[in-house]
Amino acid sequence: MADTPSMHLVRPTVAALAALLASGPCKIKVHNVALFKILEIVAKQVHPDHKRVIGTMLGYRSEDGTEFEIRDAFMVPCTETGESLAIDDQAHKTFYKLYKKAHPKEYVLGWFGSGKQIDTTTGLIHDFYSKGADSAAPYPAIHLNVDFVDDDQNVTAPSISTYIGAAIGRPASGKIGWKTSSSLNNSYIFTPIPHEIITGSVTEKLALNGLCEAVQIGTESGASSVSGAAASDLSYLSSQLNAVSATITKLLHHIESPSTSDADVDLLRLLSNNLLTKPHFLTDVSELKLHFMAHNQDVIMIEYLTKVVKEQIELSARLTAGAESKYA
Amino acid sequence: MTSVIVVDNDLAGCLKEYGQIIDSVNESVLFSESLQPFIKPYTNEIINTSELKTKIVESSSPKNLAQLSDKEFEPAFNLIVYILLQLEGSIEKVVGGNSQVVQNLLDCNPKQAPSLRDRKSIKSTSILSVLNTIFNFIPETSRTRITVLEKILYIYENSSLDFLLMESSIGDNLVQWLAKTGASSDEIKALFWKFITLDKKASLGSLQLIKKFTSQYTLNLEQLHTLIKFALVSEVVDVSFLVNNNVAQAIQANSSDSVVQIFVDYTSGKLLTTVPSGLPLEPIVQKSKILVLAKFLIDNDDKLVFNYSDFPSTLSESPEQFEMLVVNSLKAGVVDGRLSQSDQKFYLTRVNRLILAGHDNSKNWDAVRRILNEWKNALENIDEIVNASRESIVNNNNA
Repeated sequence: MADTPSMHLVRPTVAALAALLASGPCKIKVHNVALFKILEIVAKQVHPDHKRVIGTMLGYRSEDGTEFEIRDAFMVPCTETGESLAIDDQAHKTFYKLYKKAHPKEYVLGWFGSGKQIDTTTGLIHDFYSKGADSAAPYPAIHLNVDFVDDDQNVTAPSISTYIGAAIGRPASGKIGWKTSSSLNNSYIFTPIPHEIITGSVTEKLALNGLCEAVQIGTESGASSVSGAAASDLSYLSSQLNAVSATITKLLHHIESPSTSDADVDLLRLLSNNLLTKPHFLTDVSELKLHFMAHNQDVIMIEYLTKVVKEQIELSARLTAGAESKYA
Repeated sequence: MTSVIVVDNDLAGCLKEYGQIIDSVNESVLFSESLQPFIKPYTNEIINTSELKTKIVESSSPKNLAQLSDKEFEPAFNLIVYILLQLEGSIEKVVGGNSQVVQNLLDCNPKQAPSLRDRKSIKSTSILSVLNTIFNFIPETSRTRITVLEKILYIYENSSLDFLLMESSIGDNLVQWLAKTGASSDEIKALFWKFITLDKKASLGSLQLIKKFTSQYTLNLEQLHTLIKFALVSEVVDVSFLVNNNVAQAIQANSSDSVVQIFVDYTSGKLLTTVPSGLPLEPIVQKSKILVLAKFLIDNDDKLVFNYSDFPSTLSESPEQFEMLVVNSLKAGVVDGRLSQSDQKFYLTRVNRLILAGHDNSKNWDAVRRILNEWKNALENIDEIVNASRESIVNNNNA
């Protein structure tokens, strides 16, 4: 049986200074471009040595530090020798400065890695991304882990997990209490938080489908350019009509002998609520025109009323300002 | 995916750190000194662990921890859990059964919500966050998870937290978590209905959770009553989607019950005159009127334009009241259409059909099949027609 999802009710208390106390859960959105880049970087590591590969994740975060949007990523070289780890700090800083020139409003959100398990080295890397300049500080850093090998070291489909480092023990500021010590540790509880992969917008999807279709037609006809495919501009309409028709046929076949199962009752409810009442003005042009004009009248009336209210407010504000300046 | 603790310190170091936290609260060094005998000098080996455990548990009392600020509380409690985990060897021993540590944690929950200006006092969300972390530590097959879930619900019950905080995060996975622990069907049902009744607003999200749950589990009369009362007080008007096969069976088995009878009348579009005891009459009757209106429109399927006078007089006493009812129906998403106040007419576009499981729905299936066939036929040759029209326009322009 597959693992059950972890629980995530509220963002845990983090050590980051600028992180307000959260009263809600965290959300991470990973853009597909960023994810492809991360997977590409991870896939290029030498297997089966399973050398550690890490990188920086960039994007936006909400002011309260509960929502993250990962838009891009780059690799940061690191060398792991026994228990010691050396991160190429200069490479990270140079890449980040270059990136900032093109994307001034995006920041370091955290880091990604491909560790089989979270260990003290993970804590060290997380600390690197949580403190100091060109890191996620003063906001909390997030960690994305790509696990792509099973227990027998065989490559499997990558599984993505995202974490935030909850604080444990004394805060890093060391200001707690009257007796302080200089030996502050870098301990974290890596708490799983849910993430979602964001695909492109509807327009992007349409454009991508169009390009794919054009390439396919171009390949089939042996044309070297894809521009010829766009010439038959009714092809899209035809394909969409065929798709709708095929869906209806499939649906009709499914409901030929419906069962009394909950799923079929839900389907009937959905279809009945949306299909069974067909306004007759859809087939009567004169009546449709009448309704369209009536709708326009309604819209104009709402616009008129909105304008009147707005002007009343402005007038009232001017009168108040005038009265205040007169009697001041 | 579970929580993982990464501590850059040995157990002796953690104990010293914890000692400093408690001493900072009490402004003394007594607690740190009292921990010294448990740490062997030079080797940092921990000795007399059972007494140490008792000492740590005793020190985690609300008297000490409640004095920490909200930002300090959760990391400190995480450290306690970590130390006890190292001493006990298993998280279930630390938090399972009548764990004193968990009881101390619950006792730290504020009795009333702190004011907005108060940024220091411990908040219920911090207590929840600790319980959340503990839950993720426990192996998913362990029954201790049930205990922790009960504690989480207890915190919600005794604080002013918004149900939205846990509606999807717990609601979507509750059954899966409980099933994995090997909880019995009765335990799952009891915990689910306890969880759902915490939603005082009876939101659409909770109704969807009930629908999903009842499609898997049968209901007894008490659970059916909970469902009915929840559905009636909800702002959602059309609750016909709640009546799946299991609910329909429970309704049929308890058809003589007065509360069940009221629900049957409500979902079938009959005007309610009474409601189950303890529920407000007026809002439910208003909801019922919307469904009566929908039922009237369904029964008069052949018409799409209605005069105000066509509607039953029980719905409204004046045209203004009727218009308000239609507006409320539109807002509730039960009816779509357009009102013409000048002509006193209502043009219907769409109405919810009040489809219920356990009823004969063959007529509706036939109607759906007919409409789909009409739609399919209407789609045929459209591209040819458009192409022919376009060519004729082009030819006319060229001529």
